[in-house]
Amino acid sequence: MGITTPELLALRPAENALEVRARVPADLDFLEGHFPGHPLVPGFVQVHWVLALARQHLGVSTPPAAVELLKFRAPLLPGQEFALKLRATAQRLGFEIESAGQPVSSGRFQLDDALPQHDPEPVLAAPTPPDLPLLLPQAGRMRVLERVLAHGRRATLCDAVIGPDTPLCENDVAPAVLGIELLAQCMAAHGGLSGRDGPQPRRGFLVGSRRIELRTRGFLPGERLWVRAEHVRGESGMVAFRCALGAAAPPASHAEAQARALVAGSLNAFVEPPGA
Amino acid sequence: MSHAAALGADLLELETEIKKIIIDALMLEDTAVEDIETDGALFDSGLGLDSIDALEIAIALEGRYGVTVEDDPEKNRQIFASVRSLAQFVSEKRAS
Repeated sequence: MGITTPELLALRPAENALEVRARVPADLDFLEGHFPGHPLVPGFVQVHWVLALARQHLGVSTPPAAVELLKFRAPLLPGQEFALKLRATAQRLGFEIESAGQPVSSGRFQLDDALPQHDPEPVLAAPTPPDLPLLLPQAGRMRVLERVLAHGRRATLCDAVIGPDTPLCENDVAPAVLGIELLAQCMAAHGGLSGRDGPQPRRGFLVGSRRIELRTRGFLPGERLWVRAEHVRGESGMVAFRCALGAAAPPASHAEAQARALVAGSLNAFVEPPGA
Repeated sequence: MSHAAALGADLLELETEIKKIIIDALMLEDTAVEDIETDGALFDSGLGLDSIDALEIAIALEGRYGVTVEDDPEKNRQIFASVRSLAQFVSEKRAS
């Protein structure tokens, strides 16, 4: 296991607040494959760092039931120094990451002590997928989706198996924020398949979400998850999808996906215009 | 009420609705409808919104009014300049 945390340069705790100066290790574990040739710190890793720092230095151990107003405005690169600010209240944890005075990411968690841990479902015999390639920019173990199960004009359904190699999987559990990456990769998989007839797949970047609900504390190794992304608006530039993931049998519709989701939300991405 | 006055009242109502939509879409919990100026800048110096916020507002307007915001940065800068320009855009799109 390589380096999974930022290199802390300075810590300034205050009452219910924390300011951290840190650097992205050049050999951070999550850079290889995210993306090949263009390493940058994945959004879900930034979000996980925020929760880990709040737990260690502010004593906030309440699990997040939602991430709101999530924004990724600029990439966070290997070796880059950044400042992270946290503010905690009883039910909320807000964060901002800046680098060289420019915003990198921001958002807030809604915290809930009563958040359940879902019961793992038995791993179902995997249905044989149709011949649909998983076209994703992520490679190696940063490619968290496993297969495309179904693809249509509006929506794409994928699956993923949680394993000990899954990013952020520690002490036999992968935190629920990994779900953000699963949803984002399913959006990318939809874009990849939709653009198959075009000259080449276009790159997209997760830019944020108004609200992502986390209805469980985490995922367990061996668990098979379905992940569904449904296109809402935009072909290039700013695009939006409504996404969900869950356990057991894949859902047949958006409504069923929402009802049975363990993680659900609308995600926004920036897709490079054709020819960019 | 004259025809022009009725149109004006409709537009005023629409502007108030759009302020509510912005507050809801961006979860501006400490902001009331009265706090948003109809002619005030929404981006940069004004309410301080960014392009990600504009996307959320566009999705909310599309859902509420069935109008489509095209992917045209130059035009969108004008449409998203203020609540007044957004209301004008929605009312023109709905009329056509």
